[in-house]
Amino acid sequence: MIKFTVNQKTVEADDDIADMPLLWFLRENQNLKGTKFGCGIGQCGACTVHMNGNAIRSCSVPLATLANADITTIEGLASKVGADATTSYQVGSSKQTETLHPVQQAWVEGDVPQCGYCQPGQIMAAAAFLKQNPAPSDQDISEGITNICRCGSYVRIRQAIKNAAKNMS
Amino acid sequence: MIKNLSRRRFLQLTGISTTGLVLGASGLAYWRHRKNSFIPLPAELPESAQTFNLFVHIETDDTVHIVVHRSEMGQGIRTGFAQVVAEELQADWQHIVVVQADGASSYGSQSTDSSRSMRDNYQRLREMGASARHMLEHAAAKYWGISPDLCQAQNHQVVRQDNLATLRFGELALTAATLSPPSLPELTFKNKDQFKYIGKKIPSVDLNDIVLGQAKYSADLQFPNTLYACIQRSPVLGDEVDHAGSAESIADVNGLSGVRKVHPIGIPTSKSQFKPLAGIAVVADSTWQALKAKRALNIQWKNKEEHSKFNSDDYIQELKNNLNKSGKILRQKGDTQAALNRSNNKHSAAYTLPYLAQAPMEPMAVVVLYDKKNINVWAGVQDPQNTKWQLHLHLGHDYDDIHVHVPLLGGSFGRKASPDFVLEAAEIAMHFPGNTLQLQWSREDDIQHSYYHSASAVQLEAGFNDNREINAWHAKSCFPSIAATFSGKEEYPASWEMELGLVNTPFVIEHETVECFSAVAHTRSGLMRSVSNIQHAFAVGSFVDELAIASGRDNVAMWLAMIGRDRYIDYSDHGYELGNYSESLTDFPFDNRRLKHVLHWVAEHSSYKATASSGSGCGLSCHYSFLTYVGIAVKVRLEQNQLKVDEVHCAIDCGTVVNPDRVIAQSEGAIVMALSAVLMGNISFKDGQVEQSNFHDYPVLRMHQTPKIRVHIVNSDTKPTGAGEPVMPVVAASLTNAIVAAGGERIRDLPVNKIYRV
Repeated sequence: MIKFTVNQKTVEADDDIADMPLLWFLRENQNLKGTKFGCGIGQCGACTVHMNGNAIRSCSVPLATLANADITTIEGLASKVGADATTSYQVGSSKQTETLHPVQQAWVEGDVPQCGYCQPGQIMAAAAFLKQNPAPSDQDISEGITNICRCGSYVRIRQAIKNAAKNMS
Repeated sequence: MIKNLSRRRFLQLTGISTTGLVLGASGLAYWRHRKNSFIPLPAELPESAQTFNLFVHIETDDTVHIVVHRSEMGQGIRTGFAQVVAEELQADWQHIVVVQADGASSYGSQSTDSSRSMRDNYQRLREMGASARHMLEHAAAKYWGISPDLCQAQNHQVVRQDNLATLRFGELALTAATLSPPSLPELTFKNKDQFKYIGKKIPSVDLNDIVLGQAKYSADLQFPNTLYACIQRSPVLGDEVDHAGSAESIADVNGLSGVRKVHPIGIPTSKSQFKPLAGIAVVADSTWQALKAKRALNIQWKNKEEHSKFNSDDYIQELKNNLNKSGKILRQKGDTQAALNRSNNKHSAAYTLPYLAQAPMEPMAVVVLYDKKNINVWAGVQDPQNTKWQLHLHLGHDYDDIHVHVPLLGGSFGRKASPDFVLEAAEIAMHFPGNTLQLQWSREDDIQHSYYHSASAVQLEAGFNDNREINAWHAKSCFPSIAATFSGKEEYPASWEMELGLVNTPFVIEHETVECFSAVAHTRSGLMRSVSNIQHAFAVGSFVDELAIASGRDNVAMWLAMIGRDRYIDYSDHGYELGNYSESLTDFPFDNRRLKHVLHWVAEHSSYKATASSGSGCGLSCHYSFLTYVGIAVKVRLEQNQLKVDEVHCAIDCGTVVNPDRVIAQSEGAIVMALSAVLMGNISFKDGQVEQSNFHDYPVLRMHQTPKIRVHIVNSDTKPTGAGEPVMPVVAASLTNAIVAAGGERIRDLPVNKIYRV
C-alpha cells in the first residue's frame, strides 16, 4: 500500500498499481479531472501538479515513488492559500464565489486561457515557479516556464506571471 | 464562365459540413413554443426555463439561458454569441448562463469552421435577443393594461415609461413565453452607440471554471460503469490487421490484468466519409490499463502496395515537378505566356511546405453510452450535427436515436472537424450496451493519425514590362485536394481551396493565369487553421518581396504597385465568379483599400525600414482570407545561424468586432501557431508511416521562442468577418522576408529549421 496526501487528504494506492502514473490515479481513482493528459511523456506539462511544493509532470511519475509525498492539484490550489488568499472573485456567469490563488487571479485578470485545456498545468507550473523566483525577469520566465500551450497564450501567461509576482510581493 | 463550386457547396456534397437534413430557413422560422416544439432543448437546460425561441430561455429567478450552437474551442464563441443576444435582449450580464446546444438540424449549420460563426450568426442572434425583448415588453404591457409603446426593456427589467414602475424579466417570463413571437419587421435594434456588450471586452464565460480546473472536456465527464478504450491503428493508410499473424499477441494481451476485451476493427465499409482506420481496440477497466495493453500489442499488418512505399521527401519533389506539367486553369486574363516571353525581366520561384498536424492540446477523447436504443455521445467536435449524421451512416443506427453533446474542445484547429474518432468509439461501444465507453487517443495517435494539412508546392512567375511594371503573373499550385482523401483518387485542388489565397490575389496585372495541378493522396488530409491559405500566402508574400528586391524597390511600394488603384475586386472581367467564402460581393465586397490600410499600419508601427542592419531585419506581408484583411510585420535577429524572432506586429480588419479581447487573443494565438509551423513544423512519412510521434520530434512553440506581439484591430462598422484563421497564413512570408532583410538566406522550402537554428 502506497500512502500519500492529495490536497491535504490522505489517500492509499494498492501496490498492484504502483506503476500507474499519478496523472491517471488523480483522474480516474480520485475523480480530480483538472489535471490533464497532453502527451504522456513529460513534454507538455498539461498534467503539472505539485509534489512537496515543486512542480512535477504527473504523467511521468509512477505511484511507487510517492510514498509520504504531499500532492497538490489545481483543485487544491485555491483553498490551500488560506491567509494569503486574495479577495473573493466572481467571473461572468459563474454563480459561485471562489477564493483564488494570486496566480489564478492574475490569469482571470489577463483573460489568459483560450481553449483552457493546458491552463491548470500552466497555473500549477507558474505557482511553483514563483515560489522559487518571486521577482522573475523575462529571461527567468522563458527558461522556467516550459509548458506547451497550442492556442498560443504565452504572451498573456508571461504578463500574468509578472502581475502575480507583483501581487504576491 | 469557369464553373465555381463554393466551399460550402463542396462541404455539403461531401457531408463534411452539413447534412441534407438541415433546414435552410432563416432564424424566424424556428420560433415555436415549447409545447408544440421542434426546438431541440439541450439536456443541460433546466425544465423550469421558459422558452422564447431557439436561443433564449428565461427562468422566473431572472436567469437567462442563452443557447450557443457552435463549438467552443478557445475562440470565445460561447461568450461572443451570448454578448450579441444579451445586447438586444437588454439583459444584465450577471444573469446570463450559457448552454451548449446538442447536435440538431433545427439550428441550421453548426459547423464551427471557416471562421464564420459570428459572420453567419451575428444578425440572427440580434434578432433572437430583440424578439425575446419584444415578448417581454408586450407581456408587461398586458399586465399593466397599457400600450406596449410605453414599455421599454432595460437592464433586465421592463420599465413603464409613464410612471417608471418596473417588472423584472423573471416576473414576466411565464407570461411572455406564451406570446407569439413578433415578425421580423416588428423588431427594433440598438444603434452602435447604445451597445453595452457588443464591442466590449467581456471575460470568457468559462474563465472561472478553467482556472479552477473545473472546466469539462470530453474525458472529464464522469459516468457510472465506465470502460476505457485505446486503439492501435494501422500505421500505413489502408493497411489492415493480419489476424493470423497477430493472434498470439492478441491472446496475450487479452490475459492482462484489467483488460475486458481486445477488439479488432476492420476496414469499414460504411458510407461515412470519416471512416476510422483499421486496428485493434483494447477495452479495460482504466485508461492506464488500456494504454499499457495497447503498448503490449504486437500487431502484424497486411500491407497495401499503394501507400507502403510512400516517402514524403520524394513526394514534395514530385509535387514541385508536377507544376511543369499541364494543369487546370482556374482564372485567366490576357495572354500570360506571350507576355512572359516578351519580358526582358522575369522572375520565377517555387515554394514548398511539408505536412503539418494540428496537434490540439487535448488529444481526441470521446464518451459513448449505448443503452440498446439510444446512442449518446459526448465529444468535442467542431460539428455535432454532421457527427450525428456520420454516426448514422457508419453504424446504420436510427438517426433520431443518436444524440451528440458537445463539451469544451481542448483546442482543435480543424482536427476535430473530422469525427473519425467518434465513429470508432461508438463502434466499440455498441459491443458494451449499458456501459459507458470512454475512448482516449494518445499523443502518438494524434500525431500519427491526423487529417493533415497536406504537403504542397506553389510556383509563381512574373514578368516586368519596360516601365518596370509587372504585366504578367502566372501562379501554379499543386497539392492533393481534401476531396482526394474521400475519393481515394487523384484530384485537382478544388476551386474553394484555390480561392484560399491564390485565385483571389489582390493584384491588377494585365496578363494573369492561375492554374492548379492534381496529386494523389497517400495519407488523410483535412482542415488546419486557414487551410491552403497557409501555402498560398507564404508563396505570394515571399514572391512580392523577391520582386521588390529584384526591382530595387521597397516591399510596401511593391505591394502597392501590384495592388493598384483603390477598387473592389471581383475578377468578373476575367470571366471568373469569385466564391468569396460563400458570401455575396454585395454584402462582403473585396475592398483593396482595407488591405492597403493594414499593410500601411504594420509598416508604420514596426518602423521596419529602420530595422534593417546586419544581423537584424523586419519583414512584411499582407493577406486577405475569410473576408478579413491582415498585415503582419516580423522582426528577427540572426546571429551565427541562430534565429530569434523578437517582435510581431499585426493589424487585422475583420469588420464589426463583438469581443475585441478575444480577437486579439485569436490573433496572438494564430501568430504563435504559425511560428510553430514556419520555424519547425514538419510531419514526414517514410514507407507510408509518420516518422514523428510526440512533442519531442514534432515540436511546437514554447515560451522562450515567443516574441513580443502587438495586435491592432482596425475600427470598422462593416459586417463581422472571420477572426480565428486569417492571421495564421500571413506570418510565414513576413518571417522569411525578415530573414532576408537581416542578411540571411531566402527560404522557399519550409520549415526554417532546415537552415537556421530556432
